[in-house]
Amino acid sequence: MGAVDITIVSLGLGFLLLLIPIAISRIFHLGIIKSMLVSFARMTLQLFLMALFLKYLFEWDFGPLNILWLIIMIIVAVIAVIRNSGLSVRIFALPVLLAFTLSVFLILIYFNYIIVGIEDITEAKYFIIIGGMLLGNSLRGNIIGITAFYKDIKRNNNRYIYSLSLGASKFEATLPYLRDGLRSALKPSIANMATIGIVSLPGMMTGQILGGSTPMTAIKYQIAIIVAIFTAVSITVTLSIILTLRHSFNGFGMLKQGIFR
Amino acid sequence: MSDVYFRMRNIELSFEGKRVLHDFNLTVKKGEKVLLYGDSGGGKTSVLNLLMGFLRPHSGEIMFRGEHISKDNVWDIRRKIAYVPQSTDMSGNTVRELIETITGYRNNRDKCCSMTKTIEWLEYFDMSERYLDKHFNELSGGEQQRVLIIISLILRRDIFLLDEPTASLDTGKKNKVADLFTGHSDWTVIIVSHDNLWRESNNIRIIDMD
Repeated sequence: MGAVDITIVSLGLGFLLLLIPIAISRIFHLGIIKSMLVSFARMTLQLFLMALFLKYLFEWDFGPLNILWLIIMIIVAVIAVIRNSGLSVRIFALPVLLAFTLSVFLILIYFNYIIVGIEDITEAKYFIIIGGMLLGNSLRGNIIGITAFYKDIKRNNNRYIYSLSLGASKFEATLPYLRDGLRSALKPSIANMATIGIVSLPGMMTGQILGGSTPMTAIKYQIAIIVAIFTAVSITVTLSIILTLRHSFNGFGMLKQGIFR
Repeated sequence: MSDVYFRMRNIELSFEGKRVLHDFNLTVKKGEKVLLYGDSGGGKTSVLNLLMGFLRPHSGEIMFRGEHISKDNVWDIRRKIAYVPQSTDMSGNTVRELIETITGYRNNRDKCCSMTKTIEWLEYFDMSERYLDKHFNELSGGEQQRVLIIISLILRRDIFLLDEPTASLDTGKKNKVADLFTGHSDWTVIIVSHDNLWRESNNIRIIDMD
């Protein structure tokens, strides 16, 4: 038994709700109406396109195509992370892409093969959907983590220089910033987890229940995906920072001028 | 081994179009005490940053013991220097954690002295052992300055670059610091300061940066 379908007219009625935030924005002069509408239009278009692609990906369910699709998703996520962090796409694209690819594929294989136990780990229903969830969450965590790391070194350059002057290697001098970056990236997930099931019902579980799964199956998937997401964020942020270290500092250990946009 | 530790020749440096150093020359021999004296904005701190490779000049030569400072030898040079910054933000760390982190760097592990020696230095500078468990950022400016000086001393190096090391100290402690750094014949010390106290020392060479 699947969820009751929403007609296009009903979805249109759903959009009527937006009149409220638009009114709030007008009353308080927030100046976000244009960006809000553009984002909603993009989100709607992207999701309709995604539904169209997924329809065919599920129908064909061809492993190499699924892998290619996930790689495209990773590339888009990586560009979004770097752009939103205010960093140079040219310098950061390759190392962050490597970090995301390694992390997402590793966790995805573990999730599909060990936890869910499906034989064909590239099966579209699991590979692309779980991959997308890992990516979406890693994206948020990485924007916070990488931004905190590089902006803090720039802001508190005295401390960094002081460590280098006392004989620290580049890695030793950046370690406090790595810790802060990781903490900033992981803290929202930790805080969020503490309220799941009481304050919030997470999306995956809600979707599964609406789609006909029993609540028990739904929560098991939800628990497993939360663990997987947390691990993926930890790995991607750590790898992204470590892999970008080589490219973002000059031979004297100083941040390169061109790393910020 | 060359007796000249640092040599800067015809250094040109500017930031955002403003000239900071113009045709600057400096030679510091082993065991010498050199004071870069002048008001702020005269490029004194930049000289220290150039010597440690944190800044690169637009033109000119910087040498350490006869070798040009480059990305290959700068890490080695930093291992030989003890730098005392004017101030630094070490939020979240107690003095003990800060000292343990610095003495725990791979390059420092075998060379640093024990916590007992650290406590001796604390007492020398009129501080007690209980300061070890205080948060660095909660200390007064003068206390922070003394902790930074103590860190430079426990690393057991013989080249000191001191950036306004007495700015936040009272007269008694200023004298103590000045006597300490000018009193060791084997220490090579470059002091950046606008404090007149240093000018009164006998064995210090003064370079006016105004």
